[in-house]
Amino acid sequence: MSEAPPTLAELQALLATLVRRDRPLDVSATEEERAAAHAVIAGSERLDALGQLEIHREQYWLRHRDALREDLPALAYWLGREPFDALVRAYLDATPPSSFALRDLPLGLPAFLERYDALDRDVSEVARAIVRFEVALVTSFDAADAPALDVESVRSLPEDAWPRARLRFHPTLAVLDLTHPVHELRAALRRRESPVRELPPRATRLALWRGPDRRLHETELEPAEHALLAELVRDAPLEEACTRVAARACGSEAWDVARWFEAWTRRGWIVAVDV
Amino acid sequence: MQRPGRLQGAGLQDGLIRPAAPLATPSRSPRLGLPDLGCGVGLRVPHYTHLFSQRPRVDFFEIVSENFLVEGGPPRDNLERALGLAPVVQHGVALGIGSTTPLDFDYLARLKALARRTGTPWLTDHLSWTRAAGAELHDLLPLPCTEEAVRYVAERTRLVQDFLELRVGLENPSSYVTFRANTMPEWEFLAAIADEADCGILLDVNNVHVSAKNQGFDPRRYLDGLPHHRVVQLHLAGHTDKGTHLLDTHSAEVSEPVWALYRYALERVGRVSTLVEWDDALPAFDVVWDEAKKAAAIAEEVFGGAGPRAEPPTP
Ligand SMILES: [Fe+2]
Repeated sequence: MSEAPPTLAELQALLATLVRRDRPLDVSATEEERAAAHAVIAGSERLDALGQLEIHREQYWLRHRDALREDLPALAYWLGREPFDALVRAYLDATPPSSFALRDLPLGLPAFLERYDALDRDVSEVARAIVRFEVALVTSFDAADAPALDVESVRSLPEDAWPRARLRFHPTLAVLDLTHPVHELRAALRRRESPVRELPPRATRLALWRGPDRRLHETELEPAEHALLAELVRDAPLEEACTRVAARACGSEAWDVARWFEAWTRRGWIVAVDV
Repeated sequence: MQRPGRLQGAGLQDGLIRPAAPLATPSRSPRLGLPDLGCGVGLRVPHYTHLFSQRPRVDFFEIVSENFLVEGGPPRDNLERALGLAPVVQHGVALGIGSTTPLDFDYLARLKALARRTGTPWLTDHLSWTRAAGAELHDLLPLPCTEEAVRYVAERTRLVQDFLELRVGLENPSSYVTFRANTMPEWEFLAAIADEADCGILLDVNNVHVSAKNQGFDPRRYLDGLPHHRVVQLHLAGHTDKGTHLLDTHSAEVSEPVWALYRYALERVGRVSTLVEWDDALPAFDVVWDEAKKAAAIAEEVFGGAGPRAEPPTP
């Protein structure tokens, strides 16, 4: 062999490429890759170079597939085993894990599903709603804590400060606008109820948050309440948010800002008011 | 605020465990002067209800640091509760000390903040690499045992120790791959890195057994060849026989050959904190704790009347 042995970086790049293969190396490695693997790995009596590497390849696949299955049980259920595995393969291939934390693995999946075209349209629509909901569960679960709202300081705010005030919300609060009531599917799975095979579309406006009991809660919101909350979470000042939502809302909708604010405060969603 | 000082052993003041020897001074003391915490178990979520209601008197817990590098919520709450039960030692999987990508100082800063909270007396991760070609592989990938890798890993280990202001222990991984480039056996590789970096060793006895079977060497030679005073902790775990190789699955009781090897290790290393790892097919807490008690009983046999927490025999 006249060629110089690979540097540590070259060796790791070769191994990383092979370990990330979505099918066993004996069928997925090219002739060139086989030769490169044999040039650096001696193998043992029972396993050749590819056989030794295959141990790490299989672990890579199982670890990531199982982590996603654990975080996204409703998605795994809805798609079924093979389509779920195919989605995971495609996702891992297109979006290699970039965070040291396996907990972050599903975070790119909502965006990936928007451009994944291997699912039937109706299956895909529900899947997108499920994954947005389940990813929100992952992020709300261990998001930061925040001190409770100081009610006295809010009471002492001058009247004329309110229009420009911005509300600060609890870091665990997620406001979701979904095409299907996927939270009911997830709840049914949690209760191990008989399988749901149909989920008709229904505009589902959800707030999801971690309560003082440290558990995750979700509640459906009225359309106008959801619209206002979504504006405020996006950091719009109070008056601007109200005006924008009122302009969009049709006259028949209940419009009860005082009641909503009371409920939001009671649930710990509002943690501060900035003027 | 620190947790109450119910800890025992060397180097303990006001409830915090600190390295007994400053990092700047190479230490010849057993365990590099770090305390022997006894025989502990890994802190695992399915055991929380039992642990926090029954409050068993475990010697120490080991946490997987990355599971607690989160902003808040139940993981941090449960860590606080565990700190109220027993000392907590941090063990990581994402350091990637052998990766050829730059050290991730964001990650290290979070690790250091967590270490301040747990008061971990040392911090361990694996002698392996974890990321390359733009991907985090979430696996402990093997390094070739070469002079180049010794220098590279030792240099990075020194940087990490300095940054964390904590003694780092590198763990021997289970090995499945045999590199043509190897110029020395793995025990010499680990010993050379530990000496050059002046760091500790987390000796995983099960991994020695697994690697010995997979690579065809005598596991006792591995144990003989290490600088014993650098071993700051032991790991015990179960593995799975896959026919063509043993796989380090942490899914079963410690096997008989590994218990024998553990005894052999104790005779060389002396008394040292020992931890039972169990992850897959996790049984009830008491089953895992029984394994830790068995490890403690073997240590009592080996060290006879020397009493708990005695200094190890001079090698
Ligand atoms: Fe280990």
